[in-house]
Amino acid sequence: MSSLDLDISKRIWSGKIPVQIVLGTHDPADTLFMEVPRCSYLPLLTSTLCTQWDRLETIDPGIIWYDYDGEPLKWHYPLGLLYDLWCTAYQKEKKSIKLPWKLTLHTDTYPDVLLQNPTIDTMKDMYMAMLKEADFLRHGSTKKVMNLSKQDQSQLWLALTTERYDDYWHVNHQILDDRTGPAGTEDTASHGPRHVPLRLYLPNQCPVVQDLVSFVTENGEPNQLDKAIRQLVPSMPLDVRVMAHGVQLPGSVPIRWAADCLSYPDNFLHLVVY
Amino acid sequence: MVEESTDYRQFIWQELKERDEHEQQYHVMISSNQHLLKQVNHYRVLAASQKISGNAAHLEQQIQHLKEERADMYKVQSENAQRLVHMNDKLRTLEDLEAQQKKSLVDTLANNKKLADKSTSQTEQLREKDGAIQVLQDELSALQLEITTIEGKNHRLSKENHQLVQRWMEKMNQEADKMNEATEFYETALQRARSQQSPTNSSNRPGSVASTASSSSPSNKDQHKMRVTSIILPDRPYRTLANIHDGDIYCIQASRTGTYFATGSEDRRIKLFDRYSMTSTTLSGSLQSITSLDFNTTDDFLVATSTDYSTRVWNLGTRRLAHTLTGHIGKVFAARFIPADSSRVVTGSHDRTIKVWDLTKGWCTRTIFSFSSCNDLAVLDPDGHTLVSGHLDNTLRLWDTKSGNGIKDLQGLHRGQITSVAVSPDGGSVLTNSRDNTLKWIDIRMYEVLHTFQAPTYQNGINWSRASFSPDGCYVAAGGKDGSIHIWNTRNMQLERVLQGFHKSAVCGVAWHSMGSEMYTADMNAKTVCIWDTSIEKKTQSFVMK
Repeated sequence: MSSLDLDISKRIWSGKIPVQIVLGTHDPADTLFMEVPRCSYLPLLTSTLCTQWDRLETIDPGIIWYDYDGEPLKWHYPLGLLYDLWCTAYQKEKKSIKLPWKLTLHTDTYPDVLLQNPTIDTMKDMYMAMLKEADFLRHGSTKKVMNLSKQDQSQLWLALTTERYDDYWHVNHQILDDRTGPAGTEDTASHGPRHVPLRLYLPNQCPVVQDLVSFVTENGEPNQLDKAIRQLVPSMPLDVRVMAHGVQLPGSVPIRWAADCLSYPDNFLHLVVY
Repeated sequence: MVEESTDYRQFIWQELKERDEHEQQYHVMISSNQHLLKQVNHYRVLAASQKISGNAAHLEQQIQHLKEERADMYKVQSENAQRLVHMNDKLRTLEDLEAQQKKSLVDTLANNKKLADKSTSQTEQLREKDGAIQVLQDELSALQLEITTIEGKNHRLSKENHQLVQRWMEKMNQEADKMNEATEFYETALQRARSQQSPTNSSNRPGSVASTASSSSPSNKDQHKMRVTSIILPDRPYRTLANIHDGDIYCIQASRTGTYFATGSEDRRIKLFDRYSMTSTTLSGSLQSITSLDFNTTDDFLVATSTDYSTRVWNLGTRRLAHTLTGHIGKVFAARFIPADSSRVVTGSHDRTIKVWDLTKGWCTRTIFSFSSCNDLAVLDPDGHTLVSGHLDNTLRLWDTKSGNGIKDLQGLHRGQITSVAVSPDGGSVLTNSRDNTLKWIDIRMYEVLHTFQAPTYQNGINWSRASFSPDGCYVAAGGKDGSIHIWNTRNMQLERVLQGFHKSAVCGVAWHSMGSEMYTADMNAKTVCIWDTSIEKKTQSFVMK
């Protein structure tokens, strides 16, 4: 990668959102200001909060949930994604999220819409699952992830939780390595990754779109972002905009490059369409 | 293409930069907020920990304090336990002591009761004894009254007797004078006959008159001298009688009249020999061995003492047992008739008493306590008022039979027990034979030892060996352990004769014929009696008679 790519990658990794956590009680003293990484998840935030707030020490983290503006937040989405979703939603209504992003922490009446038990272990499992899925989409099998040593796996997760860029990419490089095929044999660039691990988030509570998108077009040319989207959702209007990591992406971004540089830590490309 | 790629890259990079600037405007604030929060937490924790630690310190102090208290409590508890044990022990010992004391109290009470009973019984006994004493005292006074009356009577009678005796003596003297004249005449005739060698074997018996009036008057002494043929000591026995008895011969005695001599033996029999006919009769009736013999003055009775604690009196006329005197509680070793009164006998016994018996009544009229076992007795005066006794404790004692009191104790005379006591014919002295192998001739009035007869060859072998005076008082004879007869002369105190070899064993007694013409000796184990001729007219015949 060029130095620009490296810088981009670094910025994506270390992107932070200022957050104000408010406890469900209306005590103004029960607020906390934090800067949360975009790549982190809500359960990780919960664990940090529990250490800082002694009130939360006795509470089972599995029943804590957050909401913004009345809406419970999905804890299996990366925080950056959540924020982007809200931003785009507000932007439609010509509103903007007032920073710091004010989240309310709840400890009771766990809503049914959310997945149960947002503990760290569950989060880790979820993350690993996403990782495997991404690997499968890319290479046709999850061998790369599965062949990671235990230490590598734990290093991966640890790097994510402690925001260590180098450690993460040290392991992730092995996963993303497209040169070796599924059989572990040397592979030429001609084989290449198969499909793009991609998820589209459409507005208005549309379901998440995930479909097979290949890295090359029928012509053999590298695929581009807008083409890939068109491919996935043919009825997409032409003036659609794509956001990832809080930046609007031009349509001409090659999908390959986007998948390499703009992926979230779970190797998925979560794109918000608005 | 490359430009495009660069463009979009550049574009994205720019966008990201803007985004970061926008989103990280609160960075400083939030980080300082975080910092403050951290500090607050830290201090809170510190405070809490301090509190805790403070608490902890306080609690630890409390714990220490409590531990100390607990230690003290343990100590106190152990002390208490020890004291308790100690108290328990004490209690136990006290309980034991109390039980013991109770028991001893019960015993003492029982003892007390017993003693009280004893004392009452003893006071009862005492009262009875007092009564008995009273009775006896009354008896005594009555008897004493009797005695005084009888004494008066006695005195009168003795005076009468004395007078009669005097008259009789005068008559006898007259007769004796006549006899003497006759004898002198006879002797001259005999001498004439001897020179002619005419064997005149006439015995001298008609010459002697059996006058066995025991010598109490000095005139009698002269009379005896005159009467008795002067004794010539023999060299050999005239006659030997062997195996007379079945057992050891213990005593031999000649009668007062000279008619008999008798031997008493372990075989419970008395052999009475008639001197003239040499026949013997056996007197039996004793239950055990005969220890001494005595004839009465008229030779009508013979008294014999025995180890069966009794004394027996035989009638020599009928040769039958006349009296048995029992009352001694020890072996009786000596008996004598009272010369003046043949109905009274004195006996001496190893029960340390001397008893005076009345044969008419048949019982003991007086018991004299003699302090020591009596071995031999002799009567000093014809009425029997004074006795002399020789004892086991080497003492010679004199007694008054009227009162029963001792007159004199002669101690230290002998170094061995006194085996016989013989009164001299004149009645003024006494010959004692003793186990210290000496014979002492004692003046009985002055209590002086006139002479001690001893010889290196003489050894007294028997506790009842009898020595005797010759009837004229010139000689004393005693039998020794080796069977020898020693004869001392009382005039010159010399040992005149030792007759050895005729007795095989210890000689138990020497007796003289009342006229002095014969001497009888008996030895114990060989059961032999030798008759020695001590008269002037020697009997030439000597033969052994079975």
